[in-house]
Parts: sequence; C-alpha cells; structure tokens
Amino acid sequence: MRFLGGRLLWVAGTVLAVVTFSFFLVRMVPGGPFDEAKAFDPVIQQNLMAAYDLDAPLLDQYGRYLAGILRFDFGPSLKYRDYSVTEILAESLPISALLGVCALVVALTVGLGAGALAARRKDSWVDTLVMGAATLGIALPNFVLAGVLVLLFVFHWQLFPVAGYGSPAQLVLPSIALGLPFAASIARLFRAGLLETMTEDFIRTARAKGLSSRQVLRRHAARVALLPVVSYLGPAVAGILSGSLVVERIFAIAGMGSHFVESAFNADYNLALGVVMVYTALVSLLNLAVDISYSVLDPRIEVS
Amino acid sequence: MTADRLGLPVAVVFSVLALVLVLSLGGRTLRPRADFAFCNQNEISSLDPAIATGVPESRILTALFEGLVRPDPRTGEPLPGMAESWERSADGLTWQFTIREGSTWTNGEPVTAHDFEFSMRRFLHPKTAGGYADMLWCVEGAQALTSSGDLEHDLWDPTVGIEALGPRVLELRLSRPTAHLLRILGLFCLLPVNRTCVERWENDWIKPDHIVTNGPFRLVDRRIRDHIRMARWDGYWGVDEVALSTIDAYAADGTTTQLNMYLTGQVDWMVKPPTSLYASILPREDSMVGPQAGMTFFRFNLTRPPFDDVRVREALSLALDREGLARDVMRGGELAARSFVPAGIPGYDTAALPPSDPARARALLAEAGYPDGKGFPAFELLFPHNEVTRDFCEAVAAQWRRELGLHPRLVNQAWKVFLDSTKQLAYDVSWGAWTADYLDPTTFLDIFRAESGNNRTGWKDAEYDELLLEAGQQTEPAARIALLREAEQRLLDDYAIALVYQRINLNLVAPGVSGFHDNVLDVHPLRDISVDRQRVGDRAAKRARP
Repeated sequence: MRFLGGRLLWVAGTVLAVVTFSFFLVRMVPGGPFDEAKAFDPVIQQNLMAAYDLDAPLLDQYGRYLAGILRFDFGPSLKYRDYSVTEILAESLPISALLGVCALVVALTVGLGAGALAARRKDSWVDTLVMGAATLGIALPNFVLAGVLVLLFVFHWQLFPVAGYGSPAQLVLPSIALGLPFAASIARLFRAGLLETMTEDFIRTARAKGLSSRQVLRRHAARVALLPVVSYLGPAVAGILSGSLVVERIFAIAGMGSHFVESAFNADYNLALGVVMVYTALVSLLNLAVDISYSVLDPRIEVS
Repeated sequence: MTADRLGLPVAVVFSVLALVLVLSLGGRTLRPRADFAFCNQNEISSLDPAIATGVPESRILTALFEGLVRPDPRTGEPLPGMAESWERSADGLTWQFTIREGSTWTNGEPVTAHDFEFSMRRFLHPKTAGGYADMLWCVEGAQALTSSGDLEHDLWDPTVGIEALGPRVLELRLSRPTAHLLRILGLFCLLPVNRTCVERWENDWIKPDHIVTNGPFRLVDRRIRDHIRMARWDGYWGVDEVALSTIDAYAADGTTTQLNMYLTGQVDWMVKPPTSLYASILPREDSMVGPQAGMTFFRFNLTRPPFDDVRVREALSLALDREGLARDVMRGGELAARSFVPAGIPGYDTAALPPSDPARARALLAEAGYPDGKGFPAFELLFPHNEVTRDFCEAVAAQWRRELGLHPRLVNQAWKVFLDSTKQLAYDVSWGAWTADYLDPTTFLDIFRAESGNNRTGWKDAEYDELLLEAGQQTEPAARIALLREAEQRLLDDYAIALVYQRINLNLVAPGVSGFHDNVLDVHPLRDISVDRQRVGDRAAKRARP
C-alpha cells in the first residue's frame, strides 16, 4: 500500500513536470492561436488575447492554469471555440479508447496465438511463416496496412464502410490496422519468451513429473514468457488507448489521436497541454500497472 | 493450480475488453443517412457567426442562420434574405432595411430589426472579440466601439450608427458611402444571433441544447471532428423552397479519406480532391471545375535589399512563365494571372500585367547590378509546408535559376509559423495567396494598404492609400471603379508582388444533386440544393452497408 502511494505521488510529479515544461514550450513556438490566413486587425488581436487572458504575464497565466487543473478545468480550446478542453477530451478520449480496446483484442489474440504456435513448432515451416509475417507486420507502417485494408475490404469486396464512426462495422478495419502491428511485436516477444523459458530448470522438473509438452507450455512456461510481453504492453497500451493520429485520420474517426498533432499546429495551447497531460498520466499509470503485474505473473519478483 | 493462476488473469482481461466493447456499442443508436451528406473539410472553429472564421464555417453557418441578404446560389451575389427590401439615401450614408414578416427563430420568437441591431453591436463589441469586426467599420462609430478596449463598454452606445426604428425597420448610418455594403452584409460574420438565447446562456449559447437559429436549417446534433446534423426549420420564411429535410456535414481532414467517402456514396459532395489524382478526376462527369476569385503570388520583402529595388522585383516577376506554371505544374485548369484583382468581379475591368519576358527580365537584373545573376545575394523562398505548394515553388525556383541565374533556397514552415514569419517580415520572398470574401475589387486591393495586417511586404504607397480612400467616398459607381483601377495599376507597376495564377474551385458533386452551381466565390447555399433520391439512392444502395 505504501509502495502504491509513493508511486502515485511520483506519477503526479511526472505529470506536473511535463505540464510545466509543455506550458512554456508551446508558447515559445512562433505563430499564435489567432494568426489566421486573413489576419485580424491589431485591435481585434488585442481583444482576442484579452478575452482568453493571453495578454497577462506568463507566470500569472501559469499560476491560473495550475489552479484550473486542480478543479479539472483545462481552460477553453483556442481553436474549437465552442468547446472547453475538458469537453473535447471527454468526447474524444472514449472514442480512441474504444478503438484502442478493439485493437488490443486484435493484437493480443493474434499476437499471443501466433507466438505460441511458432514456439511449439519451432524451426518448422509454420514458425518461419509466422515469424516472417511478424517481421513484415513490424516493418509495415500502419497507413500502408490501412490503405491495403481499404482497397481489399471496401473497394474490392465491399464488406465494410470506408470511414466514419458510429456503427460496429466502422470499427473493424481501423481496429485491425491499429492492432496488427502490435500483434506482430507481441508474437515475436511471446515466442522468444517461451523458447527461453522452456530451457529453465522448473520446466525440466515439470516434464520430469510427466506432463505433456502442451501442458508444460500452458501451465508453466506461458506465465513467465508473458513477462516481456507485459513490459512491452504498458507503454503500447497507453499509445493505443489515447489514439493513433494516422489510423484516426485515414478512417475519419473523431478520437484524441488527431488532437495530438493538430493542436500543436493550430497553436491551441490549452488543448495541446490537455492532451499531453492525459497521455503522460496514462503512460505513467500503465507502467505502474506493469510493475504490479510482474509480481502476479512471476512470484520471484517482489514489488518494492 | 498454476494453470488457474494464468487462466484467470487472461480470462479477466478478455472479459473486461469484451464487456467494454458490448457496452460501448450496444447503447448506440445508429443515425439514418441524411438526405444530403457532404465532407466539410476541417472541424469548424465555432457556430457563433461573430467569432467563426473560415470557409467550412461559412457552409454551416449560412445554413443555420440567414442575414439581411442571402447568397445567390448561381453567383454568390446578395439576394433579399431576412430583409425583403432596402433603401439608400442619396448621399449613400443612410440605409434602411425592411425586415420580412413571417420568419421565426427556433425558439418561436419572430425575427425582428432588433435582432439585427443587437447582433451587429455585439459583433463589434470588444468583449465578443469578433475576428473580422473591421468589416463593419464603415458604420458610424463602429471602429471606436471595437477599438475602445473596454470590455464593459455600453453595447447600446448611441454614437454607433445601428438602430432598429421599430420591429421591421433597421437603419444603418455609415461614415463613408460604401457601395459594396450589401456584399459585406452577406458575409457570414454578420449573420444574426438570438438575443434571448445569447443573454441567457452567454458563452454556452452555441451548445446543441441551447442554440437558437433563424436560417433554413436547425442544428440537430454535433460531435467534434465528426459530424454536424441539421434538419429543415419549418419557421423559416422560405421553407417551401428548401428541398432537403436533413443534412450531414462530416469533418474529415484527409483528402484521400474524403474522396473514399465520396466514391463509396457516404457523401454526395466533396471539395478539392487530392491534387495528385487530377488526371483521373478532372475528366469525370461529376467533377465541377471553374475559376475562383482567388490569386496565388509571391511577396517580396521590400525592407530587405536587393528587393527594395523595383528593377529586381520586376525582373523576378517577368522571368516567370505564368502560363507554363498554371498549365504544367498546377494542372487543374488554373489561369495565368493577368492582374491582381481576378477575372470574374462584376463591373470591374482589371488592370493589365505585362506578359512574361525573360529577355527584358535579364536586362533589368543587369541594370540593377547583377548581370546573369552574378553578385546577387543568397536569398530564401519561403512557403508553408504542403506538398502541392512545394512542387509549385520548386518549379518557380527552377525558372529563376534558368532565366536569371539566381539560386533561391527553398524553406518551408508549418502554417502558423509561416504566418508569423511573413507578419514579422522575416523572409526574402514568400509564397502568398488571397481569396475574395465578396465580389468587389476592394476585397483584394485593401490588403496592400500601408497599415493592413495582410500587406506583409513592407510596400507602402501614399498615393495608393489615397486612391482607395477616395474610392470609398464615391457614390458614382463608374468613378469609383476608375479610382480602384488606377490604384491597382500602381500596385502592379511597382511589383510589390509577383503574380502567378488565378486559383480554381474543384467540387465533386454526385449525379442527382441539383441546385449546385459553380461560381467564382465557390459559394453553395445548402438551402437551394435538392437531391433526386432515386439517382443518388441507386448510387448509395450499391454501396450501402450498416
């Protein structure tokens, strides 16, 4: 419990540090939120800066921003002016998270299945095929994969809608495009983990007790072999859940991924900070979850 | 035992994932397809007409609200809207608008002259921080109101020349006769808002649950970066002329994604398909191409030598093969520029730019002290990051290299950074573009006034500013046009910019859609669009999937 409390404090510290750094960094980039192709009159620029409290001294702005965070008020978006940052995150994060969960299902099912299959048939043609596909999956950027999926399943076979969000069918292709590259990594890690574990003493003991190799794999080796997969999954899950810029853009899904890049380009300071904050918190918390899960999976590891 | 300990966490993880999936999708009701759906490019910045800026915003706002005038679907020129008629005093300084009877807001209130008085005053007020409030500074006292900097300034300040003389008459008193006032009033930033709604909900009045509108359509729902659903509003005076009962506007950034949505029948209209696919898109029957009231050019930074020398600027301008650039590099049917004010502005006979002349360009450069480009300082050609613009700028740089022996270094920047650099005059030569807000030469000529924030060249010409000022005082149309033309000629003769081409509109519109007309403003009011369900339905049915 004390361990958990300490770690949570550390997470809070990390978030604060990242937010502080980003707060000043976004404001250093040339080009402000109200620079438009058709420039506003200087008088109007001034009115706008005043309306959004951007004409106050930087430290005052920072102080007010931190005070806002404590009330879960991340300020108004400077680009999407009908929304507060909190509203935008509340609308877009669940969409990204849902897509992320679907992608995770794809990644885990395909990845663990393929990894186990390859390990059991080590050095056979199955192993070569699976690992070949996995290498391709890691090397292939997801926008290429998305393009191929659209060509095949939208234009050739006309099975799924091409873009948008709202129906389950619209989630299928983006989930695959987002999940498969992760599945490839998981397959490789799981296979390597299994093969390494199979040479360990406790496996030999299990075999000596007369268990079949299938049973040994499932009951004993798999748990330890999952360790590298789990440490990979921590940050990967944060990435998947908070949205992918590329996949969301290609499939016109209104998640949080696009805000990562767009908010910086739009000089939407508040939205950029909000997104960075959510991402930092997610990564930190998931890493904590990974550390805890180690001790569950391998009793030899103690949390400390 | 061990098997259970592995099986359990895995089972738990998967059940949670499955549960989340079912819960998230189970409760969602699917929206039936709208009568008409289109890709509206980017997410709009606001539903508040006073603060919104940009073209996607104008498509939505002109559907939800109607101003004193509304755009003609064929030309984009103002037609009677909420004002059924108007009168102008002989000196051009006082306008009276008669508000139409029989139109109501979506909260049931009638639309009156008071609504327009409130909306225009609010638009000008510093607290609203309306981006283009200066568009209405031709009204007496308007500039002073916006510039007061006083967020608590009296909204009803009597020195501001906007007054409702009863529920049906709105009077505007101008500080200068503004011949193109009606065109200004057609801008979406001057669409009216409902006072009851705005005062009750303040900044939250634009939320779908609160918003009150007076246009041909009302807002049904909205999800950020996803869609805006609108439905016909029965309290609109011209509801009988409105054919569509529901509309979906999708926000999708990628042009390829938009094209995919169009090709699969998910939308009936998309703007500007990917340039790389022009060869296969332009010949299509459903592509609608035409000239736009917009120009692409290069700005010279006159505060940096050698661009302070008009001979250098003229040489760089004359060296460009504008026809070739338009035809071979842009490839969409862009027209070589002949003037700064583009062709298609009614009643305006554009000034003339001499044709390209590399030989004369070389002579001018030699005369300026740089024969064959020798001794010419290293300089940068700045442009915003974008593939099409990059290809174009590379082609331009190649022409300057070939014809003049100059070697500009190409530099690209992210859009906002680019805007900042040009604003600070931190460049040598920069890519530039301008599109018309309305069909009047001043929408172009105004940007090169000395104090305009869009000038960005350091070019200042007192005579030019004076001519524009004089034109603003003119009530006689022909005399006004002559003054504007003289001003344009001064701008061209001084080569503050090197003009290249007139831009194009390119729309893909599904067969079966009517009331959609190409025009130089690229304005397509949804009010006037109708759909032959049979024809569009066939196309969609072929593709329809849940």
